[in-house]
Amino acid sequence: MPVNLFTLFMAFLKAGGLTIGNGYAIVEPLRHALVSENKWLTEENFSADLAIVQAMPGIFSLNLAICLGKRIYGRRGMAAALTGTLLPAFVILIVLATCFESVRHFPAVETFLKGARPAIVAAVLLPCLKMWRHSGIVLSTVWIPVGAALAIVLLGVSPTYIIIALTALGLLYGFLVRADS
Amino acid sequence: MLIYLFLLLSFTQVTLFGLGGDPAAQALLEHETLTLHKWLTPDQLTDLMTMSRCLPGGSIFNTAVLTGYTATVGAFGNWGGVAGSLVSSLGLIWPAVLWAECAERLRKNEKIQLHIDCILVLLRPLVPGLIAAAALLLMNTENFGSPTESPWQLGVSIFLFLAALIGMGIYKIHAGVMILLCGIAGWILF
Repeated sequence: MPVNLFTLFMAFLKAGGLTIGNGYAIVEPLRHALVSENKWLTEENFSADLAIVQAMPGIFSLNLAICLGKRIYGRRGMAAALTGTLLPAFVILIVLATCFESVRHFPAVETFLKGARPAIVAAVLLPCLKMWRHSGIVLSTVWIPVGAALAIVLLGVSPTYIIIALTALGLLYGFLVRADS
Repeated sequence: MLIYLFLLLSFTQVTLFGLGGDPAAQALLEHETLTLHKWLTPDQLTDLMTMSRCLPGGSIFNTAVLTGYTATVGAFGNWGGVAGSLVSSLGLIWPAVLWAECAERLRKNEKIQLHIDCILVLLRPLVPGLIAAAALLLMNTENFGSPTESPWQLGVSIFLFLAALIGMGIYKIHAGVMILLCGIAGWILF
């Protein structure tokens, strides 16, 4: 299919906007739609963008739509891809939100949610256990995650400040390394 | 009306400083909505997250949209709530566009690349800490039950929490399925 704003929007709507699942679930449908089906991107381009997006701050699905849309059709493509990815969720969420508060206190809904809450907390915690093994934490850096978690939970420090402080420290370290070499 | 400005600023921080991807962004989102502004109670937030995970779109984006709605609907009615969720999504989107513009330029510059590597040495170990904080901020009496008032709920919750952790971590059960199963267990046990 030739690429224009509408076909781009439709591709992202079908592949990104209607796929249920967290973050990485949209990668394969998108790869299929953009690389195999429409040939708007080569496999290499797609993989290169994917690698960049994985290192970017923020929300994975948003970043992926923005980067690929921009690559295919410039700034307007970025807007089309973003709308396609976010529109279905946004519409469903608004409809659900308007009725949620009124059904939240039905006994059947309430007991279901009570059971689901511990599972949500487990789903939030799980990547921590996986990442701990892969992030190369040694005795000299273990104070960073432990200190940060305690400061955020017990003292109510904003994660933003911690990230800015560590970035500044990293920059300082960078200048020292460069002065050395 | 000031609440709309705060929503915009809060969710801007989530994507502007969410180094480490979705899990780190989750910690920022919880800090802004629970600790700083108290827009939601912890059980309200987990309920919104339950809904978010069962729908298309990223879970953080969905949670932010629902938070924007819930925080403003009480004072400004339905359309005020829709405006709240639009403002929240705008707050999430514009830093992402900014990062996309920066990403490629930074990659090509070798001098900057060295600095980025040095920053990552410190930021990479931070991410598990941020995730742990995100989980700990949700581990309270609102979500798990209190030992004095609802000991039965506390016991069942701890059991379901461990079961979900083992199910998803070791047996690789999909998170959505696990949440559904625990919800059904809630039907039976509460």
